[in-house]
Amino acid sequence: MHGWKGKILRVDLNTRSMNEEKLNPDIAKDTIGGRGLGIYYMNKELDPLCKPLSPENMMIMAAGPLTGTGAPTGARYMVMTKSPLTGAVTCSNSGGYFPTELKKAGYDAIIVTGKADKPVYLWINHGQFELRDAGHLWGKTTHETTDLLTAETDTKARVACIGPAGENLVRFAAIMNDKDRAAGRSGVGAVMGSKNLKAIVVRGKEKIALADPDKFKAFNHDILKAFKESIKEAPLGLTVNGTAGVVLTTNLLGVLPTKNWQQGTFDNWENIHGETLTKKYLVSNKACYACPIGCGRKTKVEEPGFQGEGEGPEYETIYAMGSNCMIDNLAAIAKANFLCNEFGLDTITMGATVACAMELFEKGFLSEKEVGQPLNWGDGDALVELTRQTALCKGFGERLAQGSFRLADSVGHPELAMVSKKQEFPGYDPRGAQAMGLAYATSPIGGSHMRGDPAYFELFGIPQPMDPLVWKGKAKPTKSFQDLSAIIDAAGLCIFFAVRNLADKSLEVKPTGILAYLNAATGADYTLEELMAAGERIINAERQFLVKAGFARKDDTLPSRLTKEPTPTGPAKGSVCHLEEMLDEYYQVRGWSQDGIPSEKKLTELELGGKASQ
Amino acid sequence: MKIRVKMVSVLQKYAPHEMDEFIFTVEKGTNAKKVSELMDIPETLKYNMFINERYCNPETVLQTGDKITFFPLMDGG
Repeated sequence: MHGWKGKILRVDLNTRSMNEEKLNPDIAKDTIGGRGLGIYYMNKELDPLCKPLSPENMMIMAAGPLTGTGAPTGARYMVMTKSPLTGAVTCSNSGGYFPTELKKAGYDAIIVTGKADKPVYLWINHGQFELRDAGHLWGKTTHETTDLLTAETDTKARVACIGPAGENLVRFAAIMNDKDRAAGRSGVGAVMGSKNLKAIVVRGKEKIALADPDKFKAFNHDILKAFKESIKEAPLGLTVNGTAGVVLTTNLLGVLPTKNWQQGTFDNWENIHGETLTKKYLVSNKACYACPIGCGRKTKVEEPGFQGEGEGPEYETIYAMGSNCMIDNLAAIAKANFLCNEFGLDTITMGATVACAMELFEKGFLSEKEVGQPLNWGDGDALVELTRQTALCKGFGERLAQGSFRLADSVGHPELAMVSKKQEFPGYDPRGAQAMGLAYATSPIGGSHMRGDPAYFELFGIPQPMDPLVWKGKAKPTKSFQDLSAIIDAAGLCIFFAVRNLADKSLEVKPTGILAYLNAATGADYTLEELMAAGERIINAERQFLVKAGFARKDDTLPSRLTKEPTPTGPAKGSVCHLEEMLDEYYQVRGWSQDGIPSEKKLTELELGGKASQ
Repeated sequence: MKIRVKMVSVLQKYAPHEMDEFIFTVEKGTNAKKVSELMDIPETLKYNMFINERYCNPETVLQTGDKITFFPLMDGG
């Protein structure tokens, strides 16, 4: 095959048996790969009612057909499983160099089932594979594990692993690859930990064959030339200040979540802004494989108490651990971020859970005795200490390790958890960006911006601005962005490049550039309609899984703070999120019932067959 | 008529004396695009505009006392 490697590696940890399986070309084309391939196998083989941390759950790591081809930002892979945080499907995405190495080692995907009787790691070396003892790695950080594994396998090998948080089954543990890149969300690291699988190490030398190398090369040349032209006058904000540059925009628009989402503006925003990060802590930019943007930040902090170096913080981390906790000390935020990377924790849920705990403490629902220390707004030392406790499940960290919903619910105030489907939100308040609320509520993985990101048209004006305070007419572009995200995730690309440069400039964001790349790489001769249908198919296939797991409209929700409490400051002052009105419109646009169930007509049209419900 | 103009971040360098906010006199019927031209903001620079803290189109006509804000286009997250 071209683009795709045409092989999947199956690993059954119960029996320690492994085998290669051919990837069916028709399935490859229909699913695209990555996220699409993952949900195809989950729907086919996984009981949606299984317990996420039981051996029955499966964990799929899947690259896309453009991963490793040299297409700009074609560096990504998906981790898919049933989430221990949400109970829903999750698809957690990461870049770096591991995904390309997986392809070069010969595989489009690895499907892991069962549970090893003791800690192991999987070593894949040029098409050879073996499970090795990982007893000596258990308890090690992700950085230590990566260094030890490259030393004992191959210095050029790439590693995806869990840290102590994954071993301790923290519900929002991440899988870290290349040390500091995270498949961060929804607890994929806990699933890996529950299987006693410490790491996957890959090394490969195979070329990724292209169907039409000349066409691919010519198109690549044109795209990169246009990209360079577009940044001639001014470099991309993402390159200059990383994602952290967005603090300026969100604060200005009144959607920077502050004080556990009680406000949309933060007085001290300049202290946590990307420009401040660049001036005070940036060592160098860091780019994933084949990325012309380089939004990654290598940073170093020398302030006493917060010394460290690593990558980050990204915008989402800065909102969650910064304004949301009223912490304006960027050194403390960076330190907590470094710890999350080393322990293997999702920074969004970590920060948002501490913010929730701070509000519970302020309101007297948590005592100093329970927390083990005072927990006041703005306390950067507490953030760092509680991050450590959470990863190790020590002290109050054991309760934080459950995420904000379970923490707030345990004291009788679930309404103070800022979540959808029990997963914490990224940093855009939907009271001032209405479609973000719709995207959070309908995202298959719960609160997320990466499974369809209306911030592009509501906050960034890409491909064209829509008034963020208006809710009418938002369902259609939200659907289009969700479908586009599914295509990007399945192809193995990054949203930062693809939305701007590989989709058309209408609010339908037709994936014209991705189409050209995919056809030159795979030779699958997609039409634009087929490709767009494939994106829609992924969203509907994920919804099928959710429905079978018991999810419906009742779960497409936002906390009452966002739908009933008007935001008190900024341009969105007085506004609430009109979710219910948007949901009515959204289900219609999707061809789903008003209870959020895909119709038989829609499933038949997308060749997904059968009914959505059991 | 008098309007207020606010320049955010890197766009401040296109304001008189690099002020972040100032009063500016324009003819009646002036739209947002015309103000950006008067500020000499290069067309190739990417930015968004607010009038009175709401998104506006380049063609939106300003009224006396309106505040127009120019801010650099940032994305990511």
